[in-house]
Amino acid sequence: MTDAAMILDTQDIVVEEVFPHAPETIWKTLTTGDLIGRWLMKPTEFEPVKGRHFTFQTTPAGMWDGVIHCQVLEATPNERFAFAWKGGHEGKRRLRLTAGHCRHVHPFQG
Amino acid sequence: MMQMTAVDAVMRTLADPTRRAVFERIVKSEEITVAELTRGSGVTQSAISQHLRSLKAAGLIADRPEGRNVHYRADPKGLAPLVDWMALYGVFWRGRFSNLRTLLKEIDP
Repeated sequence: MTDAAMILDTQDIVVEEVFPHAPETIWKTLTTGDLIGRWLMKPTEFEPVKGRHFTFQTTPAGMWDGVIHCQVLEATPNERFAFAWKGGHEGKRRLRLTAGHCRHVHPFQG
Repeated sequence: MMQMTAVDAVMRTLADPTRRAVFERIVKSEEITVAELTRGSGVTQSAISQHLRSLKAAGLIADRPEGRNVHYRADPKGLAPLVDWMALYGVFWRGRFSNLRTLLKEIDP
């Protein structure tokens, strides 16, 4: 592996947003299929249960069918919600959303 | 001079429109030879070969020699430095979180 690839392996994208709403309200928008569809994309087979696999269908590009494969990693009501996000040929991203304080960590694996 | 990083190499390599066209044709084919790439391109075979060397050096394509022919194919990992560079700006997620902010205001004014 090259040095550049190793650096990319450990790179996180952190997007921090504070939403002035009750954790219960934020939780609802993060964990209700229809509401997720209104700010992110409409998920398929989604349930806010740890271990649950679900997908997002995006536009196919080249050899990629456009399907983003996700899995719920953490689901603590009104506190923390995290899911893994994998699309394209390579890479694994993790999305971590904390209710009341929404933090998005996007690590790359080359 | 600063050392070239992977993203420099990818951007510099794809900045040339002819070379980018060669790359696009390789991406669309499973595998393709220099002769096939030259046919109908309006560019000489030696120019195509030069572009192939640059694309290979940037990690965008891989080759497989077979007898007298060399077959070229796109390396899916090749564009990763560019994708990662763009993703650094978090544009996608910023846009989505802006949607989320709007949605929250709507359901909880």
